[in-house]
Amino acid sequence: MRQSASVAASICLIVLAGCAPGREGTASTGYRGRVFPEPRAKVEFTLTDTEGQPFDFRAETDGYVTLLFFGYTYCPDVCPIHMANIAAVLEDLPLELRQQFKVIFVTTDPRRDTPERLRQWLDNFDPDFIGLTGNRDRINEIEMALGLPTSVIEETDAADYLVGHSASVLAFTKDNLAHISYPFGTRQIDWAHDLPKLVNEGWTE
Amino acid sequence: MRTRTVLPDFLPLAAALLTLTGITGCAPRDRGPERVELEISSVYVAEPVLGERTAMYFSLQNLSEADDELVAVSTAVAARAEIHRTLREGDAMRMEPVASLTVPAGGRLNLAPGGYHIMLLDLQGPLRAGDRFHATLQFRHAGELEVRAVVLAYADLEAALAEVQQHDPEGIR
Repeated sequence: MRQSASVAASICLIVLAGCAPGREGTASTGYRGRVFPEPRAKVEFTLTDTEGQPFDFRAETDGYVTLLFFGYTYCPDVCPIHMANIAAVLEDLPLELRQQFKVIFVTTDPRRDTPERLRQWLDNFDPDFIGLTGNRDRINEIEMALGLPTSVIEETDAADYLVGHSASVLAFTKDNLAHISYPFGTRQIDWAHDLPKLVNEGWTE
Repeated sequence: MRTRTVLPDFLPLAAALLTLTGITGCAPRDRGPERVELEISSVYVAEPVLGERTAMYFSLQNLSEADDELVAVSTAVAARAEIHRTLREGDAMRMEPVASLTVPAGGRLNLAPGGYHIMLLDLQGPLRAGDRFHATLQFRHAGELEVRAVVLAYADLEAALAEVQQHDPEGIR
């Protein structure tokens, strides 16, 4: 009975968490994502891409709409659903729009996510998606600087451990600021609504 | 037996697959102190990205007046199956194994992306979107329930999730 009571309590928590996000800001901006009260600046960082080459985030993404997500390839649903949904929507955009996006997946599990594994995983969604890895402390610093929750690794046994991570995708527009984030639960219809709009967004009003 | 008729129309393939799995079966047994009758619907797994592991989801309705507990899952397609829940802490999510999940008397238990799921580990062979396989759910009172799961591409999971939410808007997102 004790067991079932604690399970019931967690259901309530999850329901509350699931209902709360995602709606603020939409009325004023017309976006389906969550608009930040204060936009977040790009953080300067260099990590390693899936070719083993250094990737200067700020320089390489300048002039693009950049979707940035922190996750890991052993993730059962949040990470692959975000990647699959973004890939499906980008694929349907005209090429001249699609070329204005960069999608970047930073692993929060660098021990298991080798560059090769990251590449193989991302290729299942879109070969143009960029995978980055590096030192775990450095990746946590970057997440913190972006105002995201840092990832947590719980070592259960050597082969199989659990990773906690931010569930939202940050969207940087061409002004190099992230004005919007997309929580888990963002549908393809929402991405299809917002992505083309982000390409020409000037944030002037 | 309840079948699902209201389905999202933007992904007819996934919807059709779900309709087929929506009639998976009831398990009336009376091993426990009271007879427990469970109904299961929408049994699906994600097409594994790298072929090693994937997550399985379903919805359970407890038609009886006694709680039951899902205690184990087994299937020939995976060497191990663990019951997991995803915890949200603010914007962060992490998952952890749990020993069992309660299906409350007269209530529902939804396993869905971002919430409870069964991790199928050490997959024994390739699973492709559209494939079907059998799994056995073990309940404390209702005993064993045989189900048939369908494999869906990750891009089609949101349709499956929407279908669950339609029937249980207060359920786990």
